[in-house]
Amino acid sequence: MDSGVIVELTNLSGTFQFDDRDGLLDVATALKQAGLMIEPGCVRLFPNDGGRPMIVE
Amino acid sequence: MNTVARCLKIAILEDNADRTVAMRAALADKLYMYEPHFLPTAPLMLAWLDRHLEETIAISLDHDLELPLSAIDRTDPCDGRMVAKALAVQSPSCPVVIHTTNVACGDSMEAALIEGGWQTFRVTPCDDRHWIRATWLPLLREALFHAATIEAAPVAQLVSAGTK
Repeated sequence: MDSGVIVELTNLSGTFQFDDRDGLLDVATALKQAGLMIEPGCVRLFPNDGGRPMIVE
Repeated sequence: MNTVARCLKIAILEDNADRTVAMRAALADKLYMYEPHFLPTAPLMLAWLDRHLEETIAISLDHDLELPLSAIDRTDPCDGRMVAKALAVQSPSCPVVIHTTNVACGDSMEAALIEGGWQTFRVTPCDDRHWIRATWLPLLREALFHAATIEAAPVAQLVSAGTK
């Protein structure tokens, strides 16, 4: 978070390992519905196959 | 066409066995999807990068390297600056974290890499190995966050956009 805006949203928790683009976008949607702002381009997916991380939103 | 995704690699120049164990554990915990490769000497790292730079998503460089007393190969391990200088003359391809307590030499490595257009991150080891999880890992994660590319649009979306 930076000044109340989410500036990094990834699947890199290390605790909840998932590789689902839609799941990450669902998290982003839920956060926005809760009234939080997400900086464009900061939702990034790290594929479980070790591929390059992708900007998904 | 080769459709098998290649697991990208993280290359780490580190000669200290304890640090290597701690870094490997931290990576396995938080950046498990990438393949870590630890190289203990600059010549070994350069030889490795020669073959794998294209598949490397991040590099982390120590500066001072020592030859273990038990090492059978007594080749000079050189130092991190040797790797930084070799990278600096190549096209930038991934972020580089510099993790060294040698501030002056770290500055020199950083300057060479920046001049070559490479994105650098810097961490000064402290507090035994605590810094690895406290600072190095978050910095590496930040470096990877910035290495993300824009997702390719699904084919259906491209077709749809082309018909509008």
